[in-house]
Amino acid sequence: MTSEREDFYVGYLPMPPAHRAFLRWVAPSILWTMVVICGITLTFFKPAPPAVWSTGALLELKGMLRTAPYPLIEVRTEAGRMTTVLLTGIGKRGAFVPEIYSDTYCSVRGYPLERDGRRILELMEGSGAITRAGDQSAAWLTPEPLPIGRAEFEGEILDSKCWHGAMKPGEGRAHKACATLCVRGGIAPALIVHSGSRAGEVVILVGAGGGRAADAVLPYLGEPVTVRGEFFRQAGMLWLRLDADGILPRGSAP
Amino acid sequence: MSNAYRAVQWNSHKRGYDLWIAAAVLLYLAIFFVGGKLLFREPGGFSDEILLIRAFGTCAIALLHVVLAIGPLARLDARFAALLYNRRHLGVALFLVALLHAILVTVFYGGFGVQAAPVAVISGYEPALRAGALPFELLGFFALLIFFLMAATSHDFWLANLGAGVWKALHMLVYLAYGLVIAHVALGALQDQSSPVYFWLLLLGVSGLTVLHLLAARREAARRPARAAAEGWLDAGAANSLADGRGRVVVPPGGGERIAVFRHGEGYCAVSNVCAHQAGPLGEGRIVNGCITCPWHGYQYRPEDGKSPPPYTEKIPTYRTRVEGGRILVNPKPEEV
Repeated sequence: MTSEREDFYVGYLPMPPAHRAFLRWVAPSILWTMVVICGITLTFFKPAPPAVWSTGALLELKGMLRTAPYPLIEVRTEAGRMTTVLLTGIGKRGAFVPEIYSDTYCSVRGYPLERDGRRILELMEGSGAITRAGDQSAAWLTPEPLPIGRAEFEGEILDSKCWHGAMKPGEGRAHKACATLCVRGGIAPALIVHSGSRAGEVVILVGAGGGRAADAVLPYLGEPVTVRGEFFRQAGMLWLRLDADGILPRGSAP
Repeated sequence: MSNAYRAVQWNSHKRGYDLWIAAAVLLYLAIFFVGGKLLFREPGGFSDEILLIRAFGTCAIALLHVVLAIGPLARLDARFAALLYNRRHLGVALFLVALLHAILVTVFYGGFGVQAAPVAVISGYEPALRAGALPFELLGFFALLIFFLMAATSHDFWLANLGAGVWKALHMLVYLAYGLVIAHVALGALQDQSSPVYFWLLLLGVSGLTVLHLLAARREAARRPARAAAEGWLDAGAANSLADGRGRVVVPPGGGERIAVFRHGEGYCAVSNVCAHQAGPLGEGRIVNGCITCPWHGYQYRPEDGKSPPPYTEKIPTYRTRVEGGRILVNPKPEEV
């Protein structure tokens, strides 16, 4: 090395000692700074929800199959309590349930997704997903909807499948596109209540006419919203029949 | 150096540099993924795909800050020149990490549904854009597009064919991309976190880069215009204060291109301060092996005629100099070729 460049760096020539000494602490410092940032980023993450998607454990449920407003099965527990289990298809699609099975007593098989004691079922692929399970349809007694009254909730609307554990986390702004795709595909939209006495409750949304609510909720998925409508309970599940224009982004004028 | 275009003109520094980049990226991703699995165990664990999306996304942001910090750091302390030398490889690594983040987002958030995945990722915002629901994914996409253009044109082939002006302007878009990335994070991932740590980290990054750039700009602004001498020449300072092989940047008082004045043995020479390669500041370079050498990438020019030594063909403007009363004088009019 010539003396003329003892402290001058040229990439294709041997590195000057001063630069070599400098780099010996600068390069590791950058590396360790990245490691520290990595650690901080991980440590302060909002924890993922305690949800379980048992993709390897096939579950069979027997009960009354409905197709409206969303595919679901009403199941009577061993204790005699009526519960409702929403059904979904594979991926981001609603369950395909042929009309001939609607309002009939059936056996459905699929993979359960469970969170906070609530469960939905992803139907398995193939012809064995739904089968008739005897002629108990006539004797089945679905409880009438139990009106709770008019209600206004603050919360977030998302697809019920991801919230139950298909994505972890399956909520929030980053999940908006996924929730939109799921609801477009026919998966039931749910309101997760964020405040008030019902905080933490999962409320399945139906349109003003009692049908599917996809069109009404699509623009607002994954956002903080205020939702208004008729609140009722049926077969162990909470429902909200949306008012026309019953969804407002949080912070909007009423 | 070579006058032929090759994919990469490797040397030991570039190999070492790239090994450090690979080690940093792999270490970051490994710690993030394994740490994430250990810190958040089932049933409260994150989906593997989401953990990877976050790992690639945060790694890309960290790399972007390093890329943007190197420039002003090298202006403030010449010892950072070794980081500047191969910065384009760091930029390409940044693009690849960001691309993997985007692919994972597209596949897992936009896939498995009734729409094409790329469409699904950005289709949740109709009927109208609202302040609470801006399409942060699109902002990330546009930033990625800029990173792609920069990575794709990072080779000297494009620098030569686009011209230094266009090439430089294209690569200055990195600051627009940085703004898009910050907005992408602020309107997206940051909205889902309850801890203020992420806001402060982002603010620290933005303010740190801002301060570095302001310090570098202040240093540049501190260069005073040269005093005019007789016959329209410029006073380039005391002759005896310029060490052999060293340069000095002369700022013409009426604006115009800066001039780099060098002492070469007992004589003085002046060339344009702008390197023909990437517009590096030649006046901050040295004379190495008889040639004026750019501090950024080591491009060389002969003091006597501003030409790169054979087989290279670059040529930069030269200026006439003389010494009067112990002062170096420079004629600001470039010599005729």
